Parts: sequence; C-alpha cells; structure tokens
Amino acid sequence: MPIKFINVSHIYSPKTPMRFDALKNINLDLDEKKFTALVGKTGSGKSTLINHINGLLHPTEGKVLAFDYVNSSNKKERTKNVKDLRKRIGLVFQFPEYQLFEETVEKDVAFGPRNFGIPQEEAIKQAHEALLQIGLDESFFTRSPFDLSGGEKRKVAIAGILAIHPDVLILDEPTAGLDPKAAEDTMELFKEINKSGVGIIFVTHDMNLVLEYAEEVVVMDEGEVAKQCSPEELFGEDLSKYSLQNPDIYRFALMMKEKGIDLKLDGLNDVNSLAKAIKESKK
Amino acid sequence: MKAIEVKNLTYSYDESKEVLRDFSFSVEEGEYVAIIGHNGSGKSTLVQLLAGLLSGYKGEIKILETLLEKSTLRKIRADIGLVFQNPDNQFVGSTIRDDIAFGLENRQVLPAKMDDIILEYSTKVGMEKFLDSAPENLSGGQKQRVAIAGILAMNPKILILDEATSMLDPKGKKGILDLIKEIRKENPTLTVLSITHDVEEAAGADKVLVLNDGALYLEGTPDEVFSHEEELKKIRLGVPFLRSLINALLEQGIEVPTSIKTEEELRDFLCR
Repeated sequence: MPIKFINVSHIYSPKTPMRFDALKNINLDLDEKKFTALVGKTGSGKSTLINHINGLLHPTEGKVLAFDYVNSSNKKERTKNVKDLRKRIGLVFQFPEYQLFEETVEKDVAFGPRNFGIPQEEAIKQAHEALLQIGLDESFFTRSPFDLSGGEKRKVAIAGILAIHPDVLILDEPTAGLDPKAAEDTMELFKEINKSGVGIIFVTHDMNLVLEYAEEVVVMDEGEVAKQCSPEELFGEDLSKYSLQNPDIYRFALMMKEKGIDLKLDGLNDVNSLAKAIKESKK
Repeated sequence: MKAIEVKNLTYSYDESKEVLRDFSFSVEEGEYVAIIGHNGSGKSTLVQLLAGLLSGYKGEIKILETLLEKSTLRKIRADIGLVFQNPDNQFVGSTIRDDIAFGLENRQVLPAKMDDIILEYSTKVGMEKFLDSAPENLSGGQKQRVAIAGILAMNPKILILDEATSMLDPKGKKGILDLIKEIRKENPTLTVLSITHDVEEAAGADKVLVLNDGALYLEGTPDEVFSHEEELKKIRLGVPFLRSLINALLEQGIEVPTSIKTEEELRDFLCR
C-alpha cells in the first residue's frame, strides 16, 4: 500500500478560538492503482485529506506515507525532497481552469514538465502527447487557452498534470460546473487513464458517478473515515447519517423497500437493471 | 402579458459561426421557464442579449412588451435581474450588507430606507444573521443566496438565473431551488428564466426549451420535452431520473399510466 495514513490528525488554527479539527486520527490505506472515490459533505475533511497525500499540508499529528515519501508531523522524520512526490502524485484542484495563464495551450501544458527540469523541446513534446490523450487535437496547440470553452479549458488544465506522467492522479470535484456531455467525457477519460495503470482518486458530491466509475469509495464524516468499501456495499442503506444521498436508482429501491417491496440490489447499476429488478419482484 | 418575446433572433460573435440562429420564443408574466442545452449551445449569449449587454443582432427582443433598443435600454435593464454561475465572481461588497447595498446605491435608494430593505431581503433568503460576515466565510450556496437577495432588493420583474446552481453541492443546489419556489409563491408575477444543464432542475419548470447549436430543438412542458428521450440522447442531454425509469419500465412491459408525475406516485403504483 503505497499511500498510508497512520494516526493522522490535522488542526487548523490550533490554540485559537477558531481551532478546527479537520482530520481526527485517520488510519487509511489507499491502493495506488485503483479508481477511488472520496465522498462526504462539505467540511468533512476531503480536501484536507488529499492535500496531505502530496505534501501540501503536514499532519498536526501522525504521518502519511506516499510511495517513499514520509509526510510526518515530526519535521525530522519528513522526507526533504518533496518534488519527487509531486511528480508521482498529480493533484488537480477544483476549477483548475482558473489557473491557466500561458499564451498558448501547449505552453501552458508544458509548464509542469518544465518545472521538473525537462528541457523546453521535450516538455512541449510531452504537452502534445498529453493534449492528444485528453482529446484535444493539433488545432488546439497554439490557441490561447482563454478562447476555449469551459470544458476545453478544464481539459487543458488536466493535461498540464498528465504531462508530468504521475503514477496517481488526484482530482477535486473534476466534473463540477461542467455540462453533462463534458462531465461524461471527462469521467470516461479518467477511466481510460486508470486502465493505463494510473491510480485515480476523485472527490465528488455526485453519487451517480461513484456508482458508475469507482472501484472503491471512502466516506469522510466530521474529519473521520466513516467507511471504506465498494460502492455496491455502501449504497442501498440509509446514507443520511453522512449527509449523503444514494444514487437515484438505489434511492428509488429504498423508497420501495419502505413500502415492503425488497428488490434484489445485486448488480444494480442503471435504470434498466432497476426496471428488471422491479419486474422480477412483481412475479 | 408577455414578459419576454423574442422573434427570429440571430447573433454571431464573428462572421464565421452563428451562435444563435433564427431563435424565437416567448415567456408569459409569472411563468418559470428553463432553457437547457450544452455549453456552446448559445444559452449564455441569449442571456446577454436579453439584458441588452450585446448589440448587433438580427431579430427582435421585447421585454414586458417594450422593444429593446437604445432608448429603452435603461428601463429594460431595471426590469431584469441576473444571477450568474460563479458566486465568487459577482460579490462586490466586503460584507453581506455592503453587497446588497451596492445595487441599491446604484438605483439611488435613500440611505435611510436601505437598512430596512437590506434586512427584508436578507431575511427572505435566510441570510439575515450573516449581514456583517465577509463573503469568504460563506459557502457557495450562501453566496448565491446573497446574490439573489441583492437582485431581488432591486425589485426586478424578470429574474434570470444563468447556471446559478451548477457550482453548488447538492444541498446548496436544493436550497436555492426551494428558495426560488418560495419567492415565486410570494410574488406570483415574477417571471423566472433559468438557464441550466441540469435536467432535474428543468423538470420543475412550467416550460422547457431545449437549445442545440444555437437553434430551438424541443419546446413544451417538462413532460412533453422529456418524453423525447431518444432525441435528447442524440444531442447527449439526459432526461430526469423519473422519466428515464418510466421509459425503462415501459420497455420491460410494465404499463405505467401517463398520469404519474412524481417518484412517490410511481412507487405507490408499483407497490400496489
């Protein structure tokens, strides 16, 4: 398990009246190859957690091991060089399109590799590869990133991280604000990237996406890991205790259960399978 | 009375491509109309045209039966309130109070009257306890509430929401939609035009228009529009969950009556 949280706590503004315990004694193993969803209501600690994985935040207590990097509350234990970690774990923030700044798309994407010491020419080459991978062809390379649509801008921003060739890609609400078509394209892209061997950890509020894409789901609640399991295991019970809603099909199955009709939930993954299960129950 | 009447509207930013093509529609006073479509379908351009923020279009725009032209621009802008997608991009005050006051100042409301108005509208959106808070301490949903309060305080006749909930988490989104419902109940002549790509949100409107590639693709009540699942799928728009489940049940040979309008009704029908 290359990503491991050991008794990690994080406190914002300690020793002040504003003190906020964002993470409380977290013990968590994350598989670096899997497609993992991180869910929980606003303020449950999701963003704080992912910022610990690539060393943007240090634990107040405990330590995070990510590949061979040690991110410990104890300064002496911390690995000095954080650059290798940042190369292996790429973090895409929420609304990353706001961080675009270069004159052309290719230069913007090449900024990442160049920061890791790759010469200009090679960096541009890597940028082109990343852009093609993400579905933006040659015609985009020399355009200004500011002339693109919202969905395209976001793709450019994500390509900027892909160009670094990370082993794990962490995404904070990658589909927020995108239209349904762009959201689906983006998630399908991550699925492909995951198949090529890159681990994906994504934060989301959309349980329909969790059901459709994630292999594993981590539920955060009040700074603690409330659950770590497969989506199928999580869904189908009442999730209001975590302030979460079931995906639509499970939500409806639960509504029927309240009226005494117990549908078979195994393998429920879209409206067609729900309709079949309903038909089955009527026999 | 027609709140919005658009006839044969055509617009392009440059010669090469028309963003809106011969688009006509109308909205009655007090109606809640949702316009759905993808990014790039021309939705936001339409909003800017309605508010008189873009010129050089072909066709005709009438707001509350007044033709939009240079001489009527001021009046028409006073009738329209706009709420945009990103709550962070429309905050101008350093506190909630200042932010709501900003619009009033621009409308030259007397300072003596302002406090009452600010209190009234902040209460309406449930933000009266935060009047002296700074925007950075609020959630996205709370910021949108403040934006809506600031707009309503100026007493618009038409409220236009341009993807106003798309950046919010599910709870924030539901809060804003419930708020719009309440406001419409209190003020039944307020016309609401919601530009969105959220089909669940559109399902709550009186009327839905589907824009595709700058032209009108489908129009009707939510029921009518969302019964066209295949056409919507063609342009990769989904249909609301309830509708897609009903369609799937019909395919399984379960005859769901057309009178069913809510998930509860469907559940009760299936659990008979």
